[in-house]
Amino acid sequence: MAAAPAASAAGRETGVGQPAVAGRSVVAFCCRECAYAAADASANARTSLPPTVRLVLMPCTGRVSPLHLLSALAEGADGVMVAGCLEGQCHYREGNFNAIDRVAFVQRLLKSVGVAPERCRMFTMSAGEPPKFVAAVKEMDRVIGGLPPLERSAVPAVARGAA
Amino acid sequence: MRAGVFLCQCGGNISGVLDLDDLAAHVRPMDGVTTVAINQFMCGTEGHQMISEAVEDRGLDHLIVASCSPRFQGPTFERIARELRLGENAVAFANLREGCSFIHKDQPELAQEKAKKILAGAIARAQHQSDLPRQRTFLHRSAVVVGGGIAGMTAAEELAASGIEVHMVERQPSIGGYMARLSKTFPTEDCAMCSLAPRLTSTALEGRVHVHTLTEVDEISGPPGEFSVKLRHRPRYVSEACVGCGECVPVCPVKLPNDFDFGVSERKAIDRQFANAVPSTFAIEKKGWSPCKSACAVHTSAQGYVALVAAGRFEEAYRVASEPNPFGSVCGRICTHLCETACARGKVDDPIAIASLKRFVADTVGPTVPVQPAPIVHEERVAIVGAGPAGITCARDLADLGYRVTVFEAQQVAGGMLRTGIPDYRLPHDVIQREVDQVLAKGIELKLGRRAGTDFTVDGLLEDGYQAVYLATGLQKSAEAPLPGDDLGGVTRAVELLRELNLGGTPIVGSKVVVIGGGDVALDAARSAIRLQKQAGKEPDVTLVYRRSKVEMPANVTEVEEGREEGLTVEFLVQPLAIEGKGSKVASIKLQRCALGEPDESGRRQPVAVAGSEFELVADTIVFAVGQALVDDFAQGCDGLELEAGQICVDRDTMMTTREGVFAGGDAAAMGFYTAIEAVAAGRRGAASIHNFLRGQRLLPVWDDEREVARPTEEELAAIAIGQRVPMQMVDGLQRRGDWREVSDGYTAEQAVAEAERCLNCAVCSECDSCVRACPSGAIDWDQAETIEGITVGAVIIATGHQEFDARRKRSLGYGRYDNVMTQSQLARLLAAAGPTAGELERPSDKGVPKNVLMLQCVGSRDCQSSGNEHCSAVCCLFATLHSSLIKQHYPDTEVTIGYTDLRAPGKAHEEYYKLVQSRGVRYVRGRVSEIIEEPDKSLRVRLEDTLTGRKSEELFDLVVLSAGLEASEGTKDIAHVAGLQTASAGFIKEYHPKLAPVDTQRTGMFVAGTAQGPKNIPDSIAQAKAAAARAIGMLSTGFVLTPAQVAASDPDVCIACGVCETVCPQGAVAVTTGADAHSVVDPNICRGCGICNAECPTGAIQLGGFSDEEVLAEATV
Amino acid sequence: MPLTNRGRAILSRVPGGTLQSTVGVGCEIVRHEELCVGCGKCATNCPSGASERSETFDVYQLLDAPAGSRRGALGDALRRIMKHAPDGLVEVPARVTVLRTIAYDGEKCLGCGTCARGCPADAIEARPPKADAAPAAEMRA
Repeated sequence: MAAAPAASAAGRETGVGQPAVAGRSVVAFCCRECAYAAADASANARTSLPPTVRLVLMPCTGRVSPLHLLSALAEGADGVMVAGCLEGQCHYREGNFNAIDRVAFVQRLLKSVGVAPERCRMFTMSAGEPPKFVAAVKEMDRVIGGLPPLERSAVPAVARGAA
Repeated sequence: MRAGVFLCQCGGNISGVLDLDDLAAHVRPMDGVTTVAINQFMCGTEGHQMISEAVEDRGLDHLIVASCSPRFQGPTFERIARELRLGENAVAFANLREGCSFIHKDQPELAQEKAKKILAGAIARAQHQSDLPRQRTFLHRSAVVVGGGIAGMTAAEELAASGIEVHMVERQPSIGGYMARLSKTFPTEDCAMCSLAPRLTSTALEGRVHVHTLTEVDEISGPPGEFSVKLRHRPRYVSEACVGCGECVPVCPVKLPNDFDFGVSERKAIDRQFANAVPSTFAIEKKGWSPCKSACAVHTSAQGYVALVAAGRFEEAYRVASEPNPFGSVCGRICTHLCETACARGKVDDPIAIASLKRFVADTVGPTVPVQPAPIVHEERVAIVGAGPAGITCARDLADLGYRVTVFEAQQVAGGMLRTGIPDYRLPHDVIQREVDQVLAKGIELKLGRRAGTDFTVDGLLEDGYQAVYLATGLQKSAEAPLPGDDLGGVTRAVELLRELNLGGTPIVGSKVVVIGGGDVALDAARSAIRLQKQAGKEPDVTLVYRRSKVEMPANVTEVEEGREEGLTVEFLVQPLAIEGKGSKVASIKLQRCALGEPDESGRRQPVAVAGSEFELVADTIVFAVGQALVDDFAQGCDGLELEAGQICVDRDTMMTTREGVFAGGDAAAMGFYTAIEAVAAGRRGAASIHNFLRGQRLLPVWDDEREVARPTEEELAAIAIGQRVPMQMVDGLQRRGDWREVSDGYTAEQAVAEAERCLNCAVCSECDSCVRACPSGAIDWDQAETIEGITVGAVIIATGHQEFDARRKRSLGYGRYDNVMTQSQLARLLAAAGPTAGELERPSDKGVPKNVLMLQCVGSRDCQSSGNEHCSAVCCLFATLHSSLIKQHYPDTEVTIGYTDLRAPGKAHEEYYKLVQSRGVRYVRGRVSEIIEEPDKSLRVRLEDTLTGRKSEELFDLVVLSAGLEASEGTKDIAHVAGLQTASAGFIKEYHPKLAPVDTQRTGMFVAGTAQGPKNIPDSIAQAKAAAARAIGMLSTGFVLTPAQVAASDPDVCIACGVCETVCPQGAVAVTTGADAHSVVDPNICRGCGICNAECPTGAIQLGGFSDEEVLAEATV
Repeated sequence: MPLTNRGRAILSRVPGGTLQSTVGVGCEIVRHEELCVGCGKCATNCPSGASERSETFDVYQLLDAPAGSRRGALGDALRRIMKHAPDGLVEVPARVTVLRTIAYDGEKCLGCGTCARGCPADAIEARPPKADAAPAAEMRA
């Protein structure tokens, strides 16, 4: 697997498991109640984390829309992650369930156009579980490090209206 | 945009890793950045000053704060922005501390690059941030305090002192909370109740505090300042007329573990938690109807008389058993006892022998009870036709109501089918006669040998001055099932055969008898035939054939077994085809085997003939027992009476027939009553209905079966030790078939008590009415029901407290398995002067004073295993020290050892107290225990390792006390759910900020105090309660609150009114207007700002304040 | 409004009194999927169940959506990172509401035009029937 090409003949991304490459970036949409709180707690314990991942504070993962995820990827991020409360413990009752479904949807969109779906991931944790946050960030760093930088085209790859 | 970028060094926390000058240089040329400043502590006074001056001097409209996580100092900077009239959404945050410097110390270059990106994100975001509109809500000057412990009472009193109306909600029957259960308090060793009691009184007397006990908070909705709170008041079943004398307690037969005493004592179903309880009114714990009571056709309080039998109070048990049913001795023998089928104990081992217990009390007490004629209250006369169970019960109830009642009976004996249909060996004639006589003794006239339609008519009765007639004639002949050869000699019918037998005749049966049918009547006929054969000197040969299997059989299964013991042959799944004769006599019967097919409409599986399975059985007597039919003589001379399918038509609600004033019940009425107890029920309904009719009231349905059934949970059932029913003495099967003696002897008093003690008291209160009779002030009120009350309050204080860690989860320590392992809370009850032992320390196994006590700390606290909690419970070290000190002072000879992890005594005068108790001779050993083993004499062998000296020892202790940690109480977990509050470890309610806002919750207007927030001692709980009250008072004094800025808002120009937002909003805050310009509207008081609507909106019309798509995308895409 | 032959055939299937108005029955329904925002109002409004929210989404609906629309923005983002043309339909999880394709079944359609009148995105056209037949009132009689 280590020697797998960055893009296979079929035009799909492969290469999971390649050594980590510096300079990758991940945008992490974190809910204020749990994930961001867990991030704060792990930081206050001075837990070292890979600098790949940049946090964006959200009130609830229910606020994160597919537009945010795709735009972040389109505008420079190699991966996006959504981190929310544990299932059933959303501060707003069910926002994290919406986020779980939206992330699954975006993964399918990515897959259908040949982008590795693991570039978009969902994680859940409680405010009292900083280690889970740390593990999520490290996991994301590992996965994105194992993928080539996400290539972007300035011009549309498919003309509007093309079938 | 004119933004200022304020970079915080955070005293080196940020500047120690990041080069702030470089960052300043990086952002200075950026679009929209007007000024950049660096300060040591941007959140401090100097930083505040710097920001204010920059806004004033440079005309800033946005602030970009690069400091710690916005979750920490965010509110500080938002307040500064508000004060500077920029609006709180003028601040954008760059989280350079938790988001960068703290976590990338080891990679400063990469951290610097990341910091630039974070700052760029914040600046990009600020470009899109604009001021957000907010609404005012005017405040109600009232509060609800949830929890009536020391914290709740303190908060309530503080609020009331400021003129605020307070609703105090407590789930228990009394306020007082955990403190009321303590013995003494550390470090002063003063009695807990002595300091609590004056508080209880003053809270109760404070006019502005409305105490709601036995009350739950079901819902909290609405905006802060105007919370709508839904309270659910559970019934106490004791009214305020209660004078607190306690006469009810000794008479209550239901005992259960006393939860107030943590199970170290027993309490009754009617109880007051402690002497100083507020309110002082007693309370009855009732979970609805027990399964047995619900299942009974007349809803006899079976749990009630079983409990009274267990208490050895047989007379009272008889009163409870006979109140709804005059046929106790009868039903104790022949009832279908659905109560036993429903009995919860049946899920564990055998159901309680409820019928046999009833037989015991009715047989032993019944004959001794004198009966007085009932006083005549009403002049109307009622005629009852038929002296069976329905007629006699109806007569009794009407006589008790004060009517003149005459019963007409066609036979020469009363009792109906009970008398003529059931053989002596199963129901002795003198038993039924005695119970009928007791009813008649109420002054009821009985006319025997008078057949309706022949000797008199119903029309005649009404003409003779009877104002109502109750027809309960039963089904007095066998139903016909045509079969070829059924006119041959030797073919008889069960009802007729049994009637002849029971009226003193000797029906002739042949030497080979076949009984057809599967009901009780079939079995009675078959078993009687065995006895008749034996009497006639023949060897019994009786075969019962039934076309379905044993499962579908309507007869009692024990009847089949008893019949087999007597030599009865039973053929299941066999149906008759024809009776073959020899001359005019029966010679044999042709039968066919069946299999079970699909269930029919009645739900019973239908027999299907198996082809080719025909066989013949030699027989000289065939007895048909395939059902009963109406003898409709009485219809003669009863104008307007309609029959339907062989029964009398009746109104199902009123039991009145088609003839006004004529009622019907029992087997004769088309109501589907088929058993003795259902006939009794029919009699009761008939009496109630006749009373309604005669008193000129509307004929309303007279029966209400809608009660909640109380059932023990699976968990409770699993905890019950498996036993068995006390067996009843039976006469030997072969011996008894020769005579008509009763087959079983009934319970002795000892057996009855032993059997009754197996009862699980499903409904807790057994509804035996003992308390009703004992109460001198008539305070017991069964009509109380659950009520819902809605109140509106300005603020909410949560003071729902803690509970002890369930030490059973630490299985190796033996709690719950070994008698002499208890918890500190249980010890507190034993040491309390007002506790169950009046302060005497008793070892549970032998009630002796323990000589050697071990207290074990950190059980379920400071324990990272899945069964425990990580947190320190804060009070246990001194709780154990206090109890050790009390034991040492009372019993100087008793050795006390405390096995601790670390001794923590940080409170005021706590360390001094610890030293003092140590000097009193209490041994402190630093160490943990791996396992406790119970010795045969119930003492406990403990392996203890002293972790200071490394010495291992094995010691014997008389008593081990576990210092089980503190967890959030069930009430705390429930209110967190209801109020939508976050919880932290062990379920404690999370405060808004661990240091800066320790009594605020994340919901504005809701505050937390006491151990609901985390483990703490009494003075800390009180201090926190006062702080929470001060916060609430402060908020309510402002007159109004603003709606939050972070709410969704819809742009009507962009909105297409598709309604998706309305569908997805979990709070129900969005509605779509109608009309030509339809669009969505968000209620900012309900919206909680999750942003789901924003994410789903197909046009982007609805946007979340502070987190609009523009703001989020700007930050996420730099 | 006059009816087409198709309109006449459809109307003959409708039990008497079930339609509020027959005006427009028999219209030809033309859906412009690229304009659709997926709100599902047509499915909610449709009296015959001809329009339904499906469990799948056609990714081209993002790529073809007009610039400036929300779907267009998603399409632009996707276009920048895509490696190849979309593989086809993607399945849509339950809680994703508007990113799904509306399934339209011409066989069930009455041609009443309710969907077109109610479409907030103007993505549905109801083309009037050709004037080759008798007026509706006559047909009902």
